[in-house]
Amino acid sequence: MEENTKKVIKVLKLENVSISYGKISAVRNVSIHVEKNEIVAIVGANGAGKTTLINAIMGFVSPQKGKIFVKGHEITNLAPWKKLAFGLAIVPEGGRVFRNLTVKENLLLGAYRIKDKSKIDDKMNEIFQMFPKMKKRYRQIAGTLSGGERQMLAIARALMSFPKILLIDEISMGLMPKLVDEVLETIHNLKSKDVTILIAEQNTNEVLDIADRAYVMQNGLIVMSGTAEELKNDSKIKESYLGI
Amino acid sequence: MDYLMTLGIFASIYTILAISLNILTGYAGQVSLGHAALFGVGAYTSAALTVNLGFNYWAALPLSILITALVGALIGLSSLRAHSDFLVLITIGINFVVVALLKYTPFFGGPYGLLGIPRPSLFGEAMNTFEYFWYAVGWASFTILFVYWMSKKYIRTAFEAIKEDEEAAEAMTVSVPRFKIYAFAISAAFAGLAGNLWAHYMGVIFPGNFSFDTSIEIMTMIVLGGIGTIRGAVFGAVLLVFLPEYLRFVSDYRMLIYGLIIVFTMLFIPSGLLGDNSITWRWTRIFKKGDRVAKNNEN
Repeated sequence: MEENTKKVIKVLKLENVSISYGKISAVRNVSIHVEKNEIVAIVGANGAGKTTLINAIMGFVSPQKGKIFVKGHEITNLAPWKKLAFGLAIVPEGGRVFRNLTVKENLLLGAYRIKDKSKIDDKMNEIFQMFPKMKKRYRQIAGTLSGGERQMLAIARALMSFPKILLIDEISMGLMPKLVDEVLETIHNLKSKDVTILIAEQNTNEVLDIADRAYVMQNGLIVMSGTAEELKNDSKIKESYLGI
Repeated sequence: MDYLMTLGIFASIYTILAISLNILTGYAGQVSLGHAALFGVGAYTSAALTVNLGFNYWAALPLSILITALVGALIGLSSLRAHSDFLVLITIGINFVVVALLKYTPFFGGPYGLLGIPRPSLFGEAMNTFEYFWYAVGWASFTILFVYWMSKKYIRTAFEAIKEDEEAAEAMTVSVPRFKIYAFAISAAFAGLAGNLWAHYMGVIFPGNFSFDTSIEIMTMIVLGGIGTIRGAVFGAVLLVFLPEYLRFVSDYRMLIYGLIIVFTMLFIPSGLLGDNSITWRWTRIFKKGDRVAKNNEN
């Protein structure tokens, strides 16, 4: 067993990360890891520190303590755009597509750091296969898309940068339950595309359906972790942390 | 005839100014109420170079554009720390500071301004009003074409992204500081060009030419015409240059009218007369049936 775990590649690893805003500590001593092609969820209530943690990995906030590694390279204090080179990309809270720009322009912004035009075209075609609706709405202003389509666009936009690790923050925010399932299903399908995913989500029940493992966060601390199955079936956890 | 030509020159200069402010405010969403400061920097740079330092006009022209662009980029640095309403206050402050500096610096002629600024010469002879009119119209056309070309490029998309949601743009690793500085520098370069054209047409400039009132004038033009569009900026500039000349009461109460225009456009047609979503602009599109059919098909 010991031998086996050593061989598994830890694509993303956080070691004792602490982040505070002034006197308020948002993330306390968090250590998590994500293995290759895994979907790992961070669940917990509003204000538990999930978004802060995701933002720290992408480099929008710097941790006061701790280290962040991608495939063994330390990236703790790198600028966001340098992290792109390590294959990190983010789908920000609620998707946040640019409503006044067309679907095409949104996608091109995702490919901002890619200079090779043919690579961008290839990726676009790949994305159109995954999201046929995006092709149909190519020239439309993103503000005219429905809520679910907008989240799809947000995911597609993040995929434009050829990510190896996708950080997804509260993608379901403001979506109706049926669409939450649809969007999460899309994310689940990304697994076959060789993308490793860390997803922060309040809709615990739904996200545990697609995740391999999950961490439960509360007041900035990781209070529980395990496989999605374990967490789903543990009645104590259900009551105290997940509210299901 | 000379009078009309002069108005045409002013209209061209204000067109350049309005388009230049439109790059900054309409495209990149960085609201500036101190644009006249950059107009002044361009005018004074070119005037000081030719009058005080004996530069040839054709050498002073690129230098004045370049220096104004640099000053614009410096002002742009403040936009990295301050957002929206705070940035507006900063730009207003900068406008007053620049006017004061010009007023109290003997090198720039103090409150009496700079006199005897030469007209550019063509084939050894100074341009007359007629030639200068075409010269100014030429630059205005170049500005329109350049900005139109730019608006089809990636940089415009990046500007729009920053305007709409800075944090989301950052999440796409669009370098927000870099594009903000670009917006300020490009916008300033054209304001500098306008300043140059103004100084060498008027022959004399005063600090008062570039006061806060002028900033408001430029803002009124793009607000009225339709923020974020080239046609709006051109329309607003031309209209507000010619209108006061033909309606005397407008020119007596200029600032009052400008103020009212801003208030009423913001209240009733926030996207301006020719803005993308304004009633008036859509009204002109009704006759373009093909356009609408195409749009419906897409849906």
